[in-house]
Order: sequence, then C-alpha cells, then structure tokens
Amino acid sequence: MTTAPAWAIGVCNGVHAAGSRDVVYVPDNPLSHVLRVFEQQFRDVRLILATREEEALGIAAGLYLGGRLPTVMLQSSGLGNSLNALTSLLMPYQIPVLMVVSMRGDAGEWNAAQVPMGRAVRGICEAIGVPHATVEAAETASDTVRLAGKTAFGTRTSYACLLPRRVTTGSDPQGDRRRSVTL
Amino acid sequence: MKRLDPLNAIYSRLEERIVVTIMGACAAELQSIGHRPHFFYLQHAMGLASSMGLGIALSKPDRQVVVLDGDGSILMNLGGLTTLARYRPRNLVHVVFDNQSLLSVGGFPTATATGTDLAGIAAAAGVPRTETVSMLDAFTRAFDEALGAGDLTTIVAKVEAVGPAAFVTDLSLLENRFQFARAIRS
Repeated sequence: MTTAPAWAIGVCNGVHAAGSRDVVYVPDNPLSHVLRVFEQQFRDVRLILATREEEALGIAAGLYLGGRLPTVMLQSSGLGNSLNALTSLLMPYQIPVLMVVSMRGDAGEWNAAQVPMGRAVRGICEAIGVPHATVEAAETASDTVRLAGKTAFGTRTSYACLLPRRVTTGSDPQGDRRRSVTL
Repeated sequence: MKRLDPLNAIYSRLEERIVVTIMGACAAELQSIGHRPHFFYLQHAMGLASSMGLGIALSKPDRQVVVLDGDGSILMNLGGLTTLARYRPRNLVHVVFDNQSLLSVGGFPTATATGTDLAGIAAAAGVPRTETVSMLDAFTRAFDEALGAGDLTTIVAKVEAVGPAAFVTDLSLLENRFQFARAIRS
C-alpha cells in the first residue's frame, strides 16, 4: 500500500468533517488518490461512480432530497458537462452539493486540450453564481473543504473547492512525466 | 393509450410512494389527477429524473421510488442506465412513457420513432427487469409486478403523442422541493 499524499487525506477529512457521507464521482488521476483514501480509511463514506458529471449532480440532488449531504468529485473539464444540472436543477431548487474539482489546464499542464476550460473555471463559477475556494496547500486542504461544505449545506448553495495541479501533482515526479512538445 | 390512462390506472399506487416525474406533459397530467407532497416534478434538467430517482432510492432504501420518465429525456442520459444497473436499487421502478416524440417542443420524432428499443438498451445496460408494453392492462400488470418483484425495473410504455392543453402549473419549484424533502424525510 503506497502512502497517500497529505493533500488527499486533507480533502477526505474535510469532506467527512462537513458531514458528507456520500461521494458521487467521475474520477481523474489526482482524484484517484482521494478515492483510495476514502476506500481505505473512511468506511462510512459511500462512493458512487457516475458516467458523466451532469449525471453525478443529478444523483447527488436525489441523495440530498432524501436527507444526505452529498459531495461530487470531478475534473475541471467536467464542469462544462455540469452546467445544465447546476443552473437548472441545483440552483433554482436550492439543492446544495459540495463540489471537489481537480484542476487541469493550470500551472504544470501538458495537454493543450485541458487549458481553455481550466482557465475558465473560476469565471464560469462566478458567472453562474457558484462560490469557489482554492485549496492552496496540503496543510489547508481539510479546512478549506470543510468550510466550503459547511457553507454549502448551511446556506443551500453549492460550493466548488478547486484543487490546483501544483497541490495535487506539484511534488509528484509521476505527475510531471510527460514530455514537452518539441514540434 | 394516452399517457393519462396509465397515470390514472396506477395513481392509487403512486399515492403511497415517492414519485419523481420529468417536466412538461407528464408533470402537468399527474398534477391534474392530484398532487401529493411526496411527488417531485423535475421542471428542467432533461435526462436527470432517473439519476435523481437513483439518489433518492439509495438514500431511502425502505421506501419504494417510482420515476416517470420519457423517451426524449432518457435518450439524453443513456449512460445513467448503466449506473442504475450497477447500483441496482431494488426499491426503484423506472417507467418510461415513450411517445416517440419531443412533444412539448414541436413533436419532432425521437430515435424510438426510427427503431431504437429503450427496454433493450436498459436490459443491455444491466437493468435486471425490463418490459415494453403498449396496452393499458399490460402496463398495469407490469407495474404491479414491478412493485411486487422488489427489484430494479424499467417499463417502457408506448403512448400517444398527446398532452394537456397547458404544461405549466402554479406549483412553484421551491414549494415543491421543500414540501417533497420534508415529506420523504419524515
């Protein structure tokens, strides 16, 4: 068993401390660390794999109405897939979800296809009125996620916690293994 | 059959269960028969009624949940059928009223008008019980069997492409949402 990165343990602690016991997810590489920590150390958290992000928010909306406090984990590219569910379901019905967003397209990116949405994430959140917070370091991950979750569920407003690549892969040589484009 | 016929036929069963409907004709017709606090009308977000039903069914395992879906809606979320099958909530009955049409926006034919078999797709996705019915008595029997079976079921009910005169009702989204959450959590 490999040691889980501190930021991933912090995210799990934050989700749990916010009272969330249901995590609906569309995974990516950084989030796989979070999922592993949930599986191994948080046996009271239910993990539900969705096919795409909009569907994940639909499942989460049902969980909330049934009395649960749901978290949805997605990659920033999936925010585009989420917009209809956010703006026409979660927001008008005041159904809160804690969103944990693994960022792509920011510092450290190797795939140009990730850049436009990665750059737009904060602007999109602001345009539709979804508050967001950025996890600045592994040490503050737990508090940032917990406070976002508490605010979401306390005010019935979905809240996005962004996980930058400098936190999720910055010190991971494997995360930097892609070759630079030379042509 | 018209959608209103099967809705009337199973209304007494719906009254005792949690119900999630799609927007438009289906929501308006169920309300025209009678609104109940544990009926939720998803007034947009096409495709997500079955996903919400899954979330509700997982959060309320001791209650039976009925999703009233449509062909146009489920065609927007076919991947969701694989998620339904994976988690297989045994307390969920998924009814798809298939009028082969995007009725509320002008009646454009959906893929079921050109041969797509939604029950076949659900079965191939892994939904354990599926059936397509086109007659009222067959629908009522299939629905009651699904309630009795205690397993995830998708019933595709072929209906005529007709709806009510008005699709909008005076029940506000938030009134519906808070009433519904209170009713099903109690």
